[in-house]
Amino acid sequence: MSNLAIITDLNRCTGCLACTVACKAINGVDVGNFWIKTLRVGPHPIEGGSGTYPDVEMYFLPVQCQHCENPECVRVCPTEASHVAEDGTIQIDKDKCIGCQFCAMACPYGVRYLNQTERVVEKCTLCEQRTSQGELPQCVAQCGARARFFGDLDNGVENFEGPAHPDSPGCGYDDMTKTRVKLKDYVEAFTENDIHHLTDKGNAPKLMYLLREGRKWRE
Amino acid sequence: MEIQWPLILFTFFNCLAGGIFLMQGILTLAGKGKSMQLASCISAIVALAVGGLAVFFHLQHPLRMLNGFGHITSGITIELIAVIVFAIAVILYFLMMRRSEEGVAPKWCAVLAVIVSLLLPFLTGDSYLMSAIPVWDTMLLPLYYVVATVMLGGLAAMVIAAATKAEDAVKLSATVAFIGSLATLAVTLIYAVTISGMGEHFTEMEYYFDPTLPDVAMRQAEQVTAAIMVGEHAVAFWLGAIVVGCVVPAVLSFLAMSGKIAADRTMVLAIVALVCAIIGTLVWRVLLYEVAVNALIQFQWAL
Repeated sequence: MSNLAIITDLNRCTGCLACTVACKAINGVDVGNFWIKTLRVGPHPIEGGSGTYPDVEMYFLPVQCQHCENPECVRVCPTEASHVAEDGTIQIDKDKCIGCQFCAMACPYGVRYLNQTERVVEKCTLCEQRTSQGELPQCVAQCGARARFFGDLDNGVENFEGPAHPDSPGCGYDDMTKTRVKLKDYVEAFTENDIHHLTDKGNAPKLMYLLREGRKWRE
Repeated sequence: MEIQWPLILFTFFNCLAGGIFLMQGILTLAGKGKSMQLASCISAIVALAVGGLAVFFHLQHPLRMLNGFGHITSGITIELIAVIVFAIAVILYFLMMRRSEEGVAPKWCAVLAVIVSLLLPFLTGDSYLMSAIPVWDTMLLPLYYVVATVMLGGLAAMVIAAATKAEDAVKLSATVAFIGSLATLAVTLIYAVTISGMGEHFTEMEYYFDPTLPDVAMRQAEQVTAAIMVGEHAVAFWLGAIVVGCVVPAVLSFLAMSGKIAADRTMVLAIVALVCAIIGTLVWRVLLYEVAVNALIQFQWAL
């Protein structure tokens, strides 16, 4: 059993919303629904500063299903439609979903939506249709700032992978998407203390955010 | 979160059904209310059925509900089992009543009625306990459902007793309604005070912007914690949930309990008290949705 997750380098994220849009496009997400959305956190005054620009800081926060270790959505689901899959991700069996929406209420991150057409709850699948054949989740593949990296937590977060820098293959889009770069080789240095999770309400979120010293994590 | 009326009606009718059957159990144990047994059983089953019908308007695929037994420990499945057990207990009570030579269900049936009638609202409330919604994540929620059940049961039994001329049941029903109203008053007040002190259960980012909800203002925990007792919902709370919902039923049931109301007026008094209690309990249930804000306050539900 693997333990798939995503880490986002918030020092790199520019809030371009490419992840949000790419996810909607490839997964056919309903109008008004978002399997991943990008919040702007701040601007907050920097401690000891003047309180106004330029003494302010902010970051962008892409929020999606956190594929938790102890998922509340799975606990409350009456039919086991929401379940922990073999790869460690949380998935929904649409044929079992009764549309009670208790999972949406129980999720601390508000990332579950009712599909009005199919009348079942949906959310980020970590693009299992792509990852199961060796591809990256679309939000990782299309990240405009190369801030997102995908991998198996059992192999260490430093080995998470993203698409290579366009210059590295020195060629077109197809080659670039097939070439990977590791987190440890691509982003600026970081320590364990720079890795953050969204607030844990007992559900132990697995997705990670990288925000280095100098900027305050607000969660 | 948007107010989920089907769920509000479902929980309300569960409490009403539980209350009616609870009161019949108490009356049977006390050797009273013989002539209202059938009416109580029918009323309880009808209330349960209406509640069940209401929840069908919430579920998107209700016919898949039997899949519920796929996850036996989930709150909704336990709730479903409680509803089924309750219905079986009512039918059993009815059958044993018909079978009895005295025309009264045996005491063990009455004890069973009391137990299932208290379990039904408790388990209904318990299914809503989730850490993502601090305002619901307290044992005060199932406790409220239980005391509201006692209040609604006592008042509904007064109405049924008056309608079926079961005069021996009025005083005991009024006493239970009075105790239930006071207990509901106390639990509602304690619950409201508890909510006002829940600030630390929320995580705030202070300044944030969600581009998917550009017209929704930033929220702060104080807007939730102060909303009920002194904020935007204060009038609905004090007037609706407390005065109309608890004080009026308590006063009216006290009048009936102390025999200060003529027997022929009991019906009118009981109906007024029951309607007030229903208004109050619905107002409180709506308010619990109004303040059901995510613990991570910047993350809005899609519901």
